[in-house]
Amino acid sequence: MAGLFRKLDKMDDRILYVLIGLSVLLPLIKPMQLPLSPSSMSVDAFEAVDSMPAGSRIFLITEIGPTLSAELLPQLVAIHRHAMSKGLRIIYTPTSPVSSPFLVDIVDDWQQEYSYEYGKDVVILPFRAGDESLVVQIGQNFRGLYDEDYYEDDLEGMEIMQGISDIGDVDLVISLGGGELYRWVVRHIQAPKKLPTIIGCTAVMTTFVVPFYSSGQFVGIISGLGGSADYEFLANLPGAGVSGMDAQSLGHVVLLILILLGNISGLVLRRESV
Amino acid sequence: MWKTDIPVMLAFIVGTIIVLSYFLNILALQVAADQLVTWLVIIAGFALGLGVINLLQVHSKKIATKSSKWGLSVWLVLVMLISLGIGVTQGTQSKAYSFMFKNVYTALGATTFALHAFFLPAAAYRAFRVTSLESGVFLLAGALVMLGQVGIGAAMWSKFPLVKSWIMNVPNSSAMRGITITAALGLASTGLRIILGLDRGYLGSSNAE
Repeated sequence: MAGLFRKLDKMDDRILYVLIGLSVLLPLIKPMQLPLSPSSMSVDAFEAVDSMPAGSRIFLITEIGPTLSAELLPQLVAIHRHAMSKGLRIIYTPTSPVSSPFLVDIVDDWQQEYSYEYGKDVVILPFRAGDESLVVQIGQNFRGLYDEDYYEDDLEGMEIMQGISDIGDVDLVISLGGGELYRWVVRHIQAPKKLPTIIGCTAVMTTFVVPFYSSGQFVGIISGLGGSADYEFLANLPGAGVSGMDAQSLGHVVLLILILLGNISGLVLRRESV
Repeated sequence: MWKTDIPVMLAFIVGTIIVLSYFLNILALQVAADQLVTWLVIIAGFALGLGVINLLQVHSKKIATKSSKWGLSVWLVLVMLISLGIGVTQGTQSKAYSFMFKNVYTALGATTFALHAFFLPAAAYRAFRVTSLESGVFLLAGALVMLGQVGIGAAMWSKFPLVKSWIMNVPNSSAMRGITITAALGLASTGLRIILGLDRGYLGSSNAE
């Protein structure tokens, strides 16, 4: 028996890689249709968007990039589809130079299905450098910062920007990021302007974001792929979130079993050596 | 004087204007603070260009001296110049730039990030061992949150999502608030030290006192 535990303890990394690979791959090939139970954070985020009257304007700021896209892209698509299906309008603002192509793709990909008009229902602002100082500037001097959109067209003539002289004129703020973006948004937009704010983040960032949700500063949180699956489920718009949840579920279970096995073998071997 | 006194004086003036603009509703102060933040955004734009120059300097030196893995430096400079060339001559909305972004940069970035799915479980298997009460609580809380986060957990026991929510909203929120407030106080005191010229680390090691 001790020999088996010794083998487990020294298990080749490649076996672990195969086990994890299969646990993620198999549910993608053959979905298990596991049930979804949306968290209260996701429900609150969904309801904040769903309860907005048609024509309301959402300011969506994001730092999405290739490394964050696995978790943030399904969130972005779910919010975009939900908002467009309800006649809401979105002002997209990238804080990273790699975010703009993702925004362009989303706006182009769903235009035919929801028949929205660029400049009237949706607009993409250009990338501006600055990280936190950019968000400070958005909070203090939004229209001074942006005078044209991503395609270098004048914002003045666009219907979506009519009546917006300050960031406080939008109806809802959504921040999608995997780093400090949520902190900058709460400091320089949510707190001074008292705007309802939703945070979409990678699952690993949720622990940092939750205190602001408990305090009521964020009206909802979309956490990782699970959060986008919840949102898609609630909006009845299944997409990459729902289809990826089976793989994530099985991956989590395999990881927990591996940790358990590692602990059992470690415990047995420690006792044996005493 | 040029390397120490003037930068410290500038930091004092700029820092004081920004801090006071948050507390005092004086128009002149607000305008000055807005202007300074605008300058910051412009300087940040220049910093990107500085980054390109710095990369070229570092890697040109590696190539010239043929130091370890200099071939990778050649590749880095080549790819950077190609993407820069396409971006400048054809624009970042051009088909060539989009093709490169989607099929090279995005694919490579996502692939590299996806490798975590393999390395993290392997590391967790070896390192996540319960050796004390604290590590046991840590493992238990982690396992409960993981099971509450995914559908299979709810399928196993319907209360897993509720347990996860409680862990996130109560113990996690309490601890994170403490950490956040402490970090904010530390940040404020560091900021004050910089404004008052007591901390000069930003001037570089030779000028720091």
